[in-house]
Amino acid sequence: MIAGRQREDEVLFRRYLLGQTSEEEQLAIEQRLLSDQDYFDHLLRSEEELTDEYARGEMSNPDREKFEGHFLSSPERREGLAFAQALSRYLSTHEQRTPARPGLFPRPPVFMEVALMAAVIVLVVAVGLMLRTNTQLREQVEQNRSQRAQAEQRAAMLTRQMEQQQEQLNRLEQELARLEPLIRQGGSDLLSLVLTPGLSRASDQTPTLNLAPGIHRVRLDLKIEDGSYSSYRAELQTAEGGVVWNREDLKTRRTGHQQVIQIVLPAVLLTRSDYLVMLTGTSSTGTTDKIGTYHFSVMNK
Amino acid sequence: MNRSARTRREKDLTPETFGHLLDWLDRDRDRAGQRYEQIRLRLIKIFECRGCTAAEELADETINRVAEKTQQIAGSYVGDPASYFCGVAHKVYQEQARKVTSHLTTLPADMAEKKEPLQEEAEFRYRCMEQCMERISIRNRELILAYYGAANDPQGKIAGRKELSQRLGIGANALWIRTHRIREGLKKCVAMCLEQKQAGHPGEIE
Repeated sequence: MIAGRQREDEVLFRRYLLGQTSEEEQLAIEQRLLSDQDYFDHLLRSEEELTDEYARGEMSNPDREKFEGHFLSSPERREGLAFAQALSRYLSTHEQRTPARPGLFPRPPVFMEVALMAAVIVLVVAVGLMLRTNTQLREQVEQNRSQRAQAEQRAAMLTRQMEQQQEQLNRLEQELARLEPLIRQGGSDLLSLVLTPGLSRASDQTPTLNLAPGIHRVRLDLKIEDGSYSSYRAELQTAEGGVVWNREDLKTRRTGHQQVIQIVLPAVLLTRSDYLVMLTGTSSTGTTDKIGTYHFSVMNK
Repeated sequence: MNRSARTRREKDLTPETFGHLLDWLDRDRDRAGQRYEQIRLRLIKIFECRGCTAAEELADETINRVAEKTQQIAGSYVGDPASYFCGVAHKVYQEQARKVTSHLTTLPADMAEKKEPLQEEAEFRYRCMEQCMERISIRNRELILAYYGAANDPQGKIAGRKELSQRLGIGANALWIRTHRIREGLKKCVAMCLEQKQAGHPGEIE
């Protein structure tokens, strides 16, 4: 149907191009040429074919006359004819009667098949490689994610430990602050003094207790020569003879190669003054002997 | 819109008149410009088909007359403006035919006398054709050879071109458009080559 109409158009165009159409036909063709692109292209194709036909010398004599008399009236068409003649000569020199030379247009079927198979194989391999790479990458991502979670846990644990240590450090600092005055006094609220019997209070060598703030207890180590008594009794007296404190049933202690009687007194009993400690020993038979007198002074109370 | 159209508009039409024409062709200026060029090209071809030697001038005269009427008719005209152009073109042609009694030209009378120079020119042209064919891609050259070099008899030609369009997987019209474009390119190349040869620079095409 379409081919038949096209053939009719070709015949009409040939007459139109050779100036053989009536005015009515001419107007109808021209009106359609102005509004229909395909129709216009068809005219150009007919014009080209007519020119080529003339150039190849294939046109019948009556048409030749019309072609020369009407068609070639414009310089552009004469130029087109000269070109068509050159093209025709070129085509006859480089003859190609078959629609397409093998090699440039469609390739031989066997080659096509081989090429197609090769393309399919390459495609399959490429897809396989892509899938494998994808899996590997996914595994790597999972591994990295797990490592990151572990690292985050470790970091959280270390943070907790650091916080605990910080708390402990704070406590220790508070404790240290509380104990600092005591530390400065010797590390405790106890002040000790080693006393040797027999030294008078007038002597320059009289031991002195410096009762700084924070000292609550005083320990006196009373050196003894004879530690054979089963128990001892100590009595603290002021220089004026007033008894301040006493304690019975005391036992000897060994500090290094010395034997001592160790007594601990509340610091509040002592004021800034001179004191003496009377030490007596009780044998296993119940007899009591005077062991010695120990002098000391108290300062800064 | 191309430069020639603009130059022509400035020369023959006022900007207002030309603007009215474009508005009538299409509200969108780009599309109107394309439509204008399309109509002009087809008018030239129509005058050429009627055997007019000055087809381009007559096409421009037609456009000018339509443009001058545009303001009057734009509001009331119904249908494709192309039809109006067609009517005006016919009138322009009739006027021209009355002015020039021998508007249909025959082949130049001195053509036979110019046979020698024409032969020489044809030889030049053929050499240019060979050069230009070398300049296009192998694929395009093969297409030209296959399309235009098909069998000489009409039936063989039709069968050959049909087979070619099937092999390329395109329709007959698309195949012609493709080859026609290559041919137009070759035509320009050959024309340029000839100009250079005539200017005394044979063998060089820029």
